[in-house]
Amino acid sequence: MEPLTPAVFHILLSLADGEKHGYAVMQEVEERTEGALVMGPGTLYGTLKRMLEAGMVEESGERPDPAIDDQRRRYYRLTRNGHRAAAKEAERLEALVRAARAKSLLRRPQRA
Amino acid sequence: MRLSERIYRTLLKAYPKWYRRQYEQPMAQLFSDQLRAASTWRKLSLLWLRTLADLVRTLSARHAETPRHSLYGLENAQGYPRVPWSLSVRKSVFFARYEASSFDRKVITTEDLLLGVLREDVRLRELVGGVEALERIRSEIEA
Repeated sequence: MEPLTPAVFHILLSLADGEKHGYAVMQEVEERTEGALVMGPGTLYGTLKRMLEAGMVEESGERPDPAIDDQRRRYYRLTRNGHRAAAKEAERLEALVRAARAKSLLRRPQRA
Repeated sequence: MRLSERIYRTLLKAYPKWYRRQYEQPMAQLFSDQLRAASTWRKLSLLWLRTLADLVRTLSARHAETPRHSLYGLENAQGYPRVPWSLSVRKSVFFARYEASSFDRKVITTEDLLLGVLREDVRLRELVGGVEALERIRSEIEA
């Protein structure tokens, strides 16, 4: 399997703990990357469209977000395929980090 | 509606119709959410810079994904493919319209279409018994 693009992996990560609407996904990605990855509406929905076609995510209906306003929003959730793809990508990245540690590029994590 | 929202909604028209049909509304809403968070002029300017860059980057990609039927203008008002009719089908419908008017009907019915197809397609007509069969069907419809 080919590595996922950063945008796809971040969206999968955002949806891993439950369904979200587009703005909530965008906010979470921006916070997690500390502003390094800011997805505009075109990038976010273009990526979601590809993920829908690939069967990684699915729409889970439209309803308002009580925390923001009463406008109806489109919610997305992970499919089994999406969950599997996210887990594989995480394993791939973990293996890369292990390789970087083995070459002393990273410090070993400190035990609490 | 704020001016920025209006401008963004107008810019969204640059995306292909098939894409707008699905994503225009959520994209406009996402931009409105971002606008709400842009409380200062500096944040608003930054949002517009990012949004314009996002628009330029994604527009060409969406147009490149545009199905061929849309490129050639072969789509109806809803953006679905409009498959052109062949000459033979157009002739069949012409004959069906003729049959409908000969029965003094204001609409083309399935019987008219059947007669239209049999009048146009000689091989099909021979399969069901030739001109005699055609006349028999006509008289059965009349009865």
